[in-house]
Amino acid sequence: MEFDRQDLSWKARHDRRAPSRGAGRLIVALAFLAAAAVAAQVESSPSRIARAKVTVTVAATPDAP
Amino acid sequence: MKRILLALALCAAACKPSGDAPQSPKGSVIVLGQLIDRTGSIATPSWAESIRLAVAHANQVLKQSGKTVRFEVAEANSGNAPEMARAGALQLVKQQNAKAIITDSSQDDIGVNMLNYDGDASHQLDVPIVCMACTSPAIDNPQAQDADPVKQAALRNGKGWNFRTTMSDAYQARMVVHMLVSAGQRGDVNGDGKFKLSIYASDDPYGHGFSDAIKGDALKAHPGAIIEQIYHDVKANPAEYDWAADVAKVTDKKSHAKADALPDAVVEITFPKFSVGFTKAFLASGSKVRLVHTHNFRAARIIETLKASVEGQEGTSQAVLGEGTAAQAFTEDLKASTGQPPAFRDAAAYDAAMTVMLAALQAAERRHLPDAGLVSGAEIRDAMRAINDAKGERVSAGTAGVARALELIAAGKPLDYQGASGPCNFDERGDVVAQLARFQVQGGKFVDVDRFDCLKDPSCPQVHERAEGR
Repeated sequence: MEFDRQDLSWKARHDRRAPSRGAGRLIVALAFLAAAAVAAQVESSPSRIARAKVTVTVAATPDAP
Repeated sequence: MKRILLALALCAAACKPSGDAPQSPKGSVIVLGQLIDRTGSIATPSWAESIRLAVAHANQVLKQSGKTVRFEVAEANSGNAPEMARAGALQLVKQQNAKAIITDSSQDDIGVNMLNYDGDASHQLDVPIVCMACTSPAIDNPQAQDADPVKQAALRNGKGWNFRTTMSDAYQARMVVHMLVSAGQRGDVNGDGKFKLSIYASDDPYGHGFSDAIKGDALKAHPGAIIEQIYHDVKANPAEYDWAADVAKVTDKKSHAKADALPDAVVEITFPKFSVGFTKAFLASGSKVRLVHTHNFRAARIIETLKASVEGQEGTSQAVLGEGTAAQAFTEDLKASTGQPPAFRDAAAYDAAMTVMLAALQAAERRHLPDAGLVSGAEIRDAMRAINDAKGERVSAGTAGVARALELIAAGKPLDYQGASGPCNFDERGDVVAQLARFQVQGGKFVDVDRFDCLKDPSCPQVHERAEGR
């Protein structure tokens, strides 16, 4: 597992399907360098009247000693 | 002796019978509206006690420093029911002159904030709303989508009234997924070659938001994963609800009646009152599927009701406390005041009240108001981030820290409040980031077995020191 900082999620390493040899590896390397360069620059409307009964109590918190 | 004196002092300040007018010699009062659940599915008495402690701290320091303004709490019961919460918010602001609302769950927070967007001028609250138990990833999200335009506007928080001292579930979702997919063969612990996750959640904004975040993250971590989402009615009577039927749905080899695979794990996302029923039925079913709870399981009533049967149960949550002096000062004073150590969300409740009070004092000073009691809700809102200036001197929760904060405010110097729950640095959305924990029930208590620091890195790396049991 590795953390993908682009979309802030964990991803399995092998899901990235990186080519392992030849031109594929070069393409991946170039893509990686390009990405690194870029990175471096860089409830229902309440309009009806509420019906619930509400008890309001004022709990005074006066001068503390 | 010192502790006893402190306890007496705090009781004198915070436990005086309601109905008395605050004693502020020749001064004024700034009212905080406490809109939290006192009777419903998330009612937790210690949240109100934590808010009282914050107010007692502030008033004690104000008196010692010769200031004449005092804070007062006006209380209404949210019931964890949006209609009731909206009615309570209107009463607190319009009748009790509350300059801020401190509320609890996602549905209450959204419901109250919708008053600012419904087009009815008589509903406009014009005061900051700080929720201390609302975790839906949709809240404070500029990209939030909803079929109801008023709700969507409230979720997007375009007017900036909404703040929260608790983390979005987006972080916890990533941590849950990482934990599950790291087990077995990429999450497949029953050896059937598939990773199936069943998510059981409350049918409300909190349950949907959290469940969808886990689903999205699980599919990124394991693109072939099978995700089943089941919801229960939040208006159900937990004593009469058929929890066994829902347990059967989340543990069978089907997803919504379609045959697929046995789940590798079940994640439970609901309120404590419902979690009791679901967990009891799950344990009675004898299912061997891994059950992972989330933060609302971490309530005293769970252990009081289910007792030893939940020994060993595990889950994830925001850490109960932040770190350092702030958490220590809060813990000691709450224990001295109530005799109990901090419970889950107590620190967030304290910080909700304290951030509002410091912002109010900061706003009054900066605007050179002749009477701090004249500060408006909009001025408090605009000062909420000013108390977390990264260049400012760090001041902690507790009387010593608040006293220093007042000195800095009076001197026009920047300050950086360090809360009991974490740094409380409100971002541009109004959100905060803190630490997460993996907890387990051990010896009849919730114990943090691992901590994960989302402050250091968005991947929330594990803190490599064994966390203290709390």
